[in-house]
Amino acid sequence: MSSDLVQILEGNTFVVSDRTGDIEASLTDPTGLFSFDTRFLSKWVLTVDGERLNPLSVDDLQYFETRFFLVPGTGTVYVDSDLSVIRHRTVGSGFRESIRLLNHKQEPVSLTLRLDAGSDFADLFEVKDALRKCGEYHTRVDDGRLVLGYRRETFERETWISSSAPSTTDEHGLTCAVKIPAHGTWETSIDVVARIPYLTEPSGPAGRRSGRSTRPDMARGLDKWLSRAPRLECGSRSLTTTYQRSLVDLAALRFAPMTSPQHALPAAGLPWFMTMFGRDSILTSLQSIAFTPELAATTLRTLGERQGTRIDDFRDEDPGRILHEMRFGELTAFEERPHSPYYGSADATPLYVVLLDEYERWTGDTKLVRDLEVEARAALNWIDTYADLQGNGYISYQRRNEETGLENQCWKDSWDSISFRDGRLPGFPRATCELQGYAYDAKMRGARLARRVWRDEAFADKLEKEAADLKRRFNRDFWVVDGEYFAVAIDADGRQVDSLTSNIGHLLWSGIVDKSKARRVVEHLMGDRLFSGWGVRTLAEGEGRFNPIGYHVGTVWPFDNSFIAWGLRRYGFKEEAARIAEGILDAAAYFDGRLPEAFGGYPRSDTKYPVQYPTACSPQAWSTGAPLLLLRTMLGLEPVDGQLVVDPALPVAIEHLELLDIPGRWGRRDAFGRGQITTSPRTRRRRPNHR
Amino acid sequence: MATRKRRPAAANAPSRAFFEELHAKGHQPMLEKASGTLRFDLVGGPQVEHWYLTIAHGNVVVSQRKSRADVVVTVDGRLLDRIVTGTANAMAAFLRGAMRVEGDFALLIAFQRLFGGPPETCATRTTDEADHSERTPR
Repeated sequence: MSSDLVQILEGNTFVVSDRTGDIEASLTDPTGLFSFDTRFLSKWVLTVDGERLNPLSVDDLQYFETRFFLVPGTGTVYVDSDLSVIRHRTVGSGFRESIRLLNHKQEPVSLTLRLDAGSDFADLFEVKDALRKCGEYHTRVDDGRLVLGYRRETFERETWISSSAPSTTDEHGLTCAVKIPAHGTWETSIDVVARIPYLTEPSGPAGRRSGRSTRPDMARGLDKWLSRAPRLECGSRSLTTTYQRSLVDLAALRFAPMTSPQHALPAAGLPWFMTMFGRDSILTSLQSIAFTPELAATTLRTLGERQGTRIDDFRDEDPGRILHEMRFGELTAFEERPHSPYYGSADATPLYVVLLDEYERWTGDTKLVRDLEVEARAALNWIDTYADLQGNGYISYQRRNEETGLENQCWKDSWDSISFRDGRLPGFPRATCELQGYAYDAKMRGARLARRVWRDEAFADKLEKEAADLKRRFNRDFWVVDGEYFAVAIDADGRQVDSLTSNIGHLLWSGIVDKSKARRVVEHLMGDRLFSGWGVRTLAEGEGRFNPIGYHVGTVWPFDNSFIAWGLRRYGFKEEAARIAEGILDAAAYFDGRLPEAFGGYPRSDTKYPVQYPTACSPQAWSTGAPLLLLRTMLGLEPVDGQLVVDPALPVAIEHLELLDIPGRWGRRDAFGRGQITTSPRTRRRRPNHR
Repeated sequence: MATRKRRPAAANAPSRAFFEELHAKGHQPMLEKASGTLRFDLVGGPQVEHWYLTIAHGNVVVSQRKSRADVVVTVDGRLLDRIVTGTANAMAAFLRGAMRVEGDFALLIAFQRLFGGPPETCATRTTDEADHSERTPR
């Protein structure tokens, strides 16, 4: 998101405008009022006496409200300001904009205030791909209210605009004749409602949002959210800032599904990915489980409700498969895009079982585990049946929807993310290594649930036996002998895709790595080819496609590193986990506590600061969750036999750390730690390559 | 394809056949957590056809006799024919206003898992190929 744009949001409704608060979007331009993946305003321009306004400042009050201080004229050197204009905008199921005019003259003034409005009702996918619309537009003035509308067969979307102060409405906007006494003020409140018949109507599934442009309790809701989270006390001011930032951003990323509007799950990213994503919602729920376990519960319930039941090539759906992405716009509604929902993800399904077990271990909520037994069994069944495309006992992916389906169905989903050392790309199907780790973990955790909650000893035994077999085969088939690490994938011909990647860190997290191989894996992760000083690179320096600013081929991803740190702890490598935590949290300080999706994989010693990778979405849910998971790994928090075990391993730079009121099956508990691990970067610097 | 075995029914009324089959089957493991009554109002014909599906503990009772409903689904009968046979998608129909829902949306989402998948898939096209046989559900 370009820094001269302003964005606010609530759920999947958001406004992106310029710094005067105006919107003037072309089809491909990402500004406007959006709700349910449709643009409801593409034009929203405020003028006073026919003149555009000039921004003095913008106050980002909360994620759902902002205030613009403006003066008439677009002068560049000197602004003659005997009039101030304050636009205060709050987003809800549309937005409310209160406009205040302040007359600084000693005499009364008469002005004409004008708001030009229009909408192209573009689908988010159209904004991305510049597609043309098939339906028809209409505009009407209804009882002083301006109604902009779009219809294609039964598909209807409308924008309702009204003003509290008397105004004249025409088909292109509202005009107010304004008289302000000397040193006086004038004010109006404009409501813009994004209306979807049968959906946002009071009787519809999203009906609680209807009728009003905002909800009155939003600020209170945020305060409550913050007060319920564990309290952090520590000597590092930047860590405190990062923690607070993460909690607020996580609040903004909450998304209430239509089937349980009172609950929320983490959406993937703000603003373009404010929807359910299997992978992102699950991983973010895992990262935040020690802090806000209720997100995991909603994620599990909602993804379970939408679990695949059919074989549907268009949606890449299979029975038992957990969804990849859900969308609500026109192209999805007419089945021109498969997102109703789309299932093309190879990792969400095993990760679903992993989250269910992790959730139970923290909360003791066995009721949810019983409620979701059918879904969890179906997910476990998917691993061995539909996901085993090659019949070799490994999860592979290959899309069946070749037009609009996803080619890469693992988290590194860009076209060149999975490559051989020499840069060649493998064909499909591809069995990437981390998927096998997730499958192993899902079976082990599924076995625990089967034994403890579902009381099915035979099923538990079967899963453990399968897991042991998978682990044995995996350590044989994926181990790159001449490099002593795990191949990133096995291709369709059974060959090892032999580049060195961060994926091996996820294998530690899953527990699939033989103890005897773990030290070598850790040496690779912390070696100069992968570890930049800030974190572990997605692809090692020296590989054919390595590029320190390539999306999945050399950048450092905070989320990736948080799971790697968790994996290091799992195998007892406390110091290495602390080094990663320190590097990523140091980087966060350069971004005011808000970690980007990824940053450059340059050596830390070269750049001194982390170079941000430009992406459209910020904050990103799993980057927001990364500091939370790193706090957990530094404190060594683990639920063991119903108790919270604390085993801190903190870098010395953090002196002391207290996390108070950690929620779980134990009620609330506190954790303390002192910095004792020296993590100073090594001075020696090896050159890349040495295989 | 094993998943798509369907009892022969009146070719011109897949929706009716779908409801009758549900009634005959009785128990649906996928609906064990759901409870309540769905009413489907089939429009587009000479008169509105009402179907009541009462779900309790995974058992489904289908009736055309008037009763209370937790969710009312209004849809063109021909579109529902396509939805139950998997040539149209229920969620997409809902998003474009072709299937209107009033009441307990979660109940409908739980129920829609019983609608069929598309008749032709890669899996059905390649069932003869031995190396794809493992994709058939066990």
